[in-house]
Amino acid sequence: MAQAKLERSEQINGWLFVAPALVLLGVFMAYPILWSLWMSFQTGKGMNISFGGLTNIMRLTEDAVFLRALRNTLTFLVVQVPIMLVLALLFASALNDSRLWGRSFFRTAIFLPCATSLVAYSILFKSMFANDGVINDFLRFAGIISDPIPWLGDPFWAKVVIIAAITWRWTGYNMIFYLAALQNIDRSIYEAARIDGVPAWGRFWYLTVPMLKPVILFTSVISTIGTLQLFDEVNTITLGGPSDATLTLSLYIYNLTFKFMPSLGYASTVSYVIVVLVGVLSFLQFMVARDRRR
Amino acid sequence: MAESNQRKIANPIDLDEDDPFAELTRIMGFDPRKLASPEPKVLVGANSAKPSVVAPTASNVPALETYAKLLQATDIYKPVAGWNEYTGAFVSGETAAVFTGVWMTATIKAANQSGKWGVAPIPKLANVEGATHASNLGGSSWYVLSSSAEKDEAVDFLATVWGKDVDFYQKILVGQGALGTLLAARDGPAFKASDEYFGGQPVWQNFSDWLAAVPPVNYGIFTNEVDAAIVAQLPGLAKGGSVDDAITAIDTQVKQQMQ
Repeated sequence: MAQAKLERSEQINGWLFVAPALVLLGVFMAYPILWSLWMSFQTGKGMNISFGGLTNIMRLTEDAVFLRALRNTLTFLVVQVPIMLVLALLFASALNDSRLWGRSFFRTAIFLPCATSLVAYSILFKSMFANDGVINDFLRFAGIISDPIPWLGDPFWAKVVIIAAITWRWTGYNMIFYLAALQNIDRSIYEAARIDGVPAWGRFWYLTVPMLKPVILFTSVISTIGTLQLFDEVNTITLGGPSDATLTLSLYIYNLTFKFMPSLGYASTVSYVIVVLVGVLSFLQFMVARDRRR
Repeated sequence: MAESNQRKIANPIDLDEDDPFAELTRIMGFDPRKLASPEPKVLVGANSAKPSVVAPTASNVPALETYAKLLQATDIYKPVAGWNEYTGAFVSGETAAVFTGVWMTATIKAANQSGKWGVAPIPKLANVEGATHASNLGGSSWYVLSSSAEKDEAVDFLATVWGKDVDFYQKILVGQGALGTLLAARDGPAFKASDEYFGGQPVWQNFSDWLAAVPPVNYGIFTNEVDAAIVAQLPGLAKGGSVDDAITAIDTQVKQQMQ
């Protein structure tokens, strides 16, 4: 009897302790998510909205601007994430070598971009890649180009600038995960491999990479999610231009909501496209990376 | 934006012919004394099943053609990205002129190039009916909420201060550098003053003269949507693309965004 009472009071106390967090989660997370799902079926502008069923989804298929934003976002994803993860992996294995001179300096230097504000570094990139910016000045000084490259005025180069910017910002962040994971790999495995005459690239490819597989999966999933939500950099550096060449899904959602006559319902539909993409791509990555042994 | 509440505005008969507030909003592109504006004009395109919202006209085709020609003449302008590069280009003397509104005056005056600058009216398209040497860009609005308890007081404040008070306009021009659009304010001393920086030109007087010549245009409520659609076509036009195709693409995008 007393036992049951104690258990009951523990139950109540437990729930009371988590209640504030649960209420906050409910009000600021679960409720907005459900509400935005409901909103994604509404059509109309501003407060003047009505239930439109699948109208918004039909609209997606005909909306050239949305399709361009989707294509841009996927381009960023396909090009930038592999480059960044490979770089991070190479940096991590290089900086894990205890014989490397000044490795704590390099570790700090490569990680430091993550400590900068997204907007601050974007403004720096914008001025560096201006027509009279230091990049063009340097390339001209070095004799590589004769006319300045219109970095931000050309659809192709603008994408290059965005990819360069996010790679600079996030490579160090991913490198830290790899470095931490590398600390956990037993050194004796490498020694054994060395004694067996496995060359350096072989040790990297057949030992390091497979043993980092769970971390690589983790970083590729979070990088995918981050790139699909890309907003700050494009909004600061190019505003989606030139001619929507760097427009991302998040920036398009922002435009639909705050720049144009507010289409809150349609903007919610576009945000659910990101949700679906994140879900599908994460699932695919888990499938690819799963252990094949039964 | 001023345009968005046009259809909600009061019965036009409620306003006097010399109503100062109406005069103020007329300058901003809408005359409440005229009958409440009709629904956005829908032009019917020749080849499309749905009615077009943007169709080739006698004014937009030459405008886009001229713009494309300017973009193709890469020797006469400097491409810039962002505000600093933009102001830097003309403040440094690298470009000889800039097309912009009255608000650039302060930036130009900060460059210490007194006597080297002048203000001129914008060029106009030849052979386009209704083209003028005056245009307006941007603008903002005052709102009075109909549910406000102090509605009458707020309307009175706007009408007497912003709509009538010529002295007030002199004060904000001298103190804040704000050029008001009330035409009556032109007769005040601050507006008449000439500026040595611009070679003794009466710049404010010039600007307000041009202001009076700005033809009222109803931009409708989808300004940003149309703007984005046009901007998206400019690189194609700069590469020599067809103006008709660009207008068709603009129309498709605007129709898509308006729903």
